[in-house]
Amino acid sequence: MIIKIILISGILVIGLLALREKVSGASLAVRRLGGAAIIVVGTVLILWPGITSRAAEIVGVGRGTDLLFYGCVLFFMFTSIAQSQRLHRLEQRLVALTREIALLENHEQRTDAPELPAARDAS
Amino acid sequence: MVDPDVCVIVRMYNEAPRVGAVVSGLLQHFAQVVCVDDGSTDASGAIARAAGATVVRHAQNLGGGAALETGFEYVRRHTDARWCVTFDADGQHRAEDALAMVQHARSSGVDVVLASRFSGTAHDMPWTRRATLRCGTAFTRWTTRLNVSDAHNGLRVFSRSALDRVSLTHAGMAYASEITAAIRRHRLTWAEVPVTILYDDYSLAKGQSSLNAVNIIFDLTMARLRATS
Repeated sequence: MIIKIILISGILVIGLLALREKVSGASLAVRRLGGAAIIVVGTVLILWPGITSRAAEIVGVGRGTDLLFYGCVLFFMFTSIAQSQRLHRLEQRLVALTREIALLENHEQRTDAPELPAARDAS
Repeated sequence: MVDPDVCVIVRMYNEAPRVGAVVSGLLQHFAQVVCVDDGSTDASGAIARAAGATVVRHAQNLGGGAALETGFEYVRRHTDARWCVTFDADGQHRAEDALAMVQHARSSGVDVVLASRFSGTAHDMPWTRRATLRCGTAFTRWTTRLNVSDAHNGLRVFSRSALDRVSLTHAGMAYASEITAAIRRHRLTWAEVPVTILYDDYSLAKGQSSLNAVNIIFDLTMARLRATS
């Protein structure tokens, strides 16, 4: 079936992109394991779609599609939160960097022009 | 009589019409005025410098809390000031009040002196502003369990030792609650001094929208949920 080829090649490309991303240490390991799991499970489910329906019945969801949909919603929320935390950390680094530049710039001005009235430098 | 032990921090974002008068008013009482220009796109920086202030310029707009912390960091690194006053650039505070607060800090020895417009006078404050500030103060009192009467007044006095212990991480306007929380966490001694706030069309237009309270509460809640910070 053509759809299976499309989906599997899609999942492989996405998985490879996720694995290539540079993150450090433990979070990298988690991400790699997660990525690998998604590739394997995704491929299996695409090849044998009956599995999702049976899994859905076991956990008490009507159809396999619904189960996948719920899983996607959870996954999306999880990545959203992870992204928002990353953004927050990035923001804090940006603030620290801008502050450092501001203070350095001011320091340069004061050493260039010592007649500025507020140039009482204790350092 | 100019107080040599005090460094005043004025954070400003596009305050060109007012900041010149504010700086020269402050320099009549205090030796050192540092303006933190939070990425203004107007002539605020040049005007403040011409009026005699030291200007520290953020390359981009970061928010009130970040600007204040930059001012604090300036005081920690480059001055030997014993007290640090934070003062608004829009002309709503009076330099005499700041002076009285520093005198209170000097004589009583408390770490932090907060200004209260509710025990003092606030001229021409609209009722929506009053209501929002009352709610904000109630929220701060509830979350930080500190019995302040006006938590969101930009006029404050910090002793050097308070400054060494408090550092602000909220870049936005939630920093007011952060300060109150820090007073409690670090067991700083504090006092309130009644002040007069001069409201006019300019300061009201420059002030925060009352709706911003929603953002502040959201920021504070997120900060509590976040593991990092």
